[in-house]
This record gives sequence, structure tokens and C-alpha cells, in this order.
Amino acid sequence: MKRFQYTIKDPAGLHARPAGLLVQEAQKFGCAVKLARGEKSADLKRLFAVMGMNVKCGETVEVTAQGDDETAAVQALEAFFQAHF
Amino acid sequence: MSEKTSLFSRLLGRENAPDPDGSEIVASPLDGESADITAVADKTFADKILGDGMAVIPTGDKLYAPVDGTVENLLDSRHALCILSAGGAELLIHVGRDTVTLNGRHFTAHVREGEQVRRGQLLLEFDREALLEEGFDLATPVVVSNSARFVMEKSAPGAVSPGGVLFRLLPKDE
Repeated sequence: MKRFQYTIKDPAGLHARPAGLLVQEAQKFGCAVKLARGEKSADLKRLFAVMGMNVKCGETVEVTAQGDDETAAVQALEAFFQAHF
Repeated sequence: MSEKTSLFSRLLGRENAPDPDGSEIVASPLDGESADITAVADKTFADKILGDGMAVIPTGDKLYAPVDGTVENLLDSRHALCILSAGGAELLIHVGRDTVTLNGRHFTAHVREGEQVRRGQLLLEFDREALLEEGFDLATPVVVSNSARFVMEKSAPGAVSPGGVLFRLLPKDE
């Protein structure tokens, strides 16, 4: 399993449009990808699950990937977070 | 439900029973002009990245529930919400483009997260005039984020009012 943490800098948090792009990015990988904040976690490949997390600016999330392409997934998703959130 | 109430609901287009063919109706949430999702200026929506669906360019300022379901998510900025329909469709309604930057200004919510809603119930109000004055594109996508699970039958684009059929969803055999 690979993971990284990221603190959201976008004042609007993890809102609809960029969340859709994030989910699309996650769906490119075969491995299981999760988004967690504290006790709560969501399937990063499902827009509804991600939006339901209501991630706000200043909050720290952890992304974990498990499966064959987990290293590539974590690299791509970390870059995505840095570019968009 | 009494016969009278039932008749009243039916007149308002809120009847709960699915169509005989098993499809679920997604009604227009707004008064306005409908268009295919591929016609909106916002490329993320036009490319169906958030799901397939349609958009409504509002002429009114009140947004009503397009289906019976549950409000799964209402953003703090009140410009978008997610509704899980009784038929399992994950609907995202997003009022206008870049309206997230307003942080809720010009928007009033009439529902809370987790609330059960009925088709035709008032969900949001917005100050259309003020938004247009500030230069916002108000095209409002209504998309199904799990649209791959359904066959979507879209109504022809044109004038719509709340309760009018925007599209129908027929579950695919899984």
C-alpha cells in the first residue's frame, strides 16, 4: 500500500468540478484508491463518495492506493492535488 | 394518502410510482431553456467528466427537486448539490459556472444535507438578476455521476418548467 497526505489550499475546498476531474484521474488506475480524513473515508473513484466527504480548505486528507499500479497512482494523484487543490 | 392529496400531488407532477417501463423521470429543476450537456461552455461538464445529462439555462430563480430522493451533499457555497434518487441515480446539480467563488452569496438553501425530498420540492433560491449583473453564466448542469448504470433517454432541448421531463433513466441489466 502507498499513501500520501495533503492539506487543501483551495479556499473552496474539494468542490464539484475539480472533484470530478480528480475522480476521473483516479479511475485511470486499476488499484483501489481511497480518500480519508480522520475516521471518515471514501472511494476516490466515486464522485458522490468524494463530494460527500465535504473536504474544506485547511483540512488534511490522506490518499491510499492498493494494487498493482499503486506507485503510479499515488504519484499521479499527489501531482493532481498539488495542481488543483 | 387520501384521494384528494393524491390527486393534488398528481396535478403537481409529483406522483411517486415509476413509469410502467421501470424508468425514472428526472424533471427539470428550473424554469428555463434546456440543452444537451455537450452544449455547455464549461468543458468539464460538456466532456461528461461529471456524468451524462442535460443543462437548463434558468429564466427563474427557484430550483426544485428533479426526483424523489435524499440530499447527499449540499456544498457550503450552496451553488451545487448531490441527490441520490429513489431509483439509485447519483444526480449532481450545479447552478452556474464558477459560482463556487461566491461562497454562498446570492444563494439561499431550503433543504439540509441528509433530508429526504420529493420531486417538485423547493431546494434552492438564487438572485438571478444579481448573478447575471456580475457576469455569471447560469447554465445549470443536471448530470448523473453514475450514468454508466443507466440508459438515458433525453427529451428534446427547448423551453422547460419544473416538473417537465428533462430525461428518463432506465437501469441497465447488471
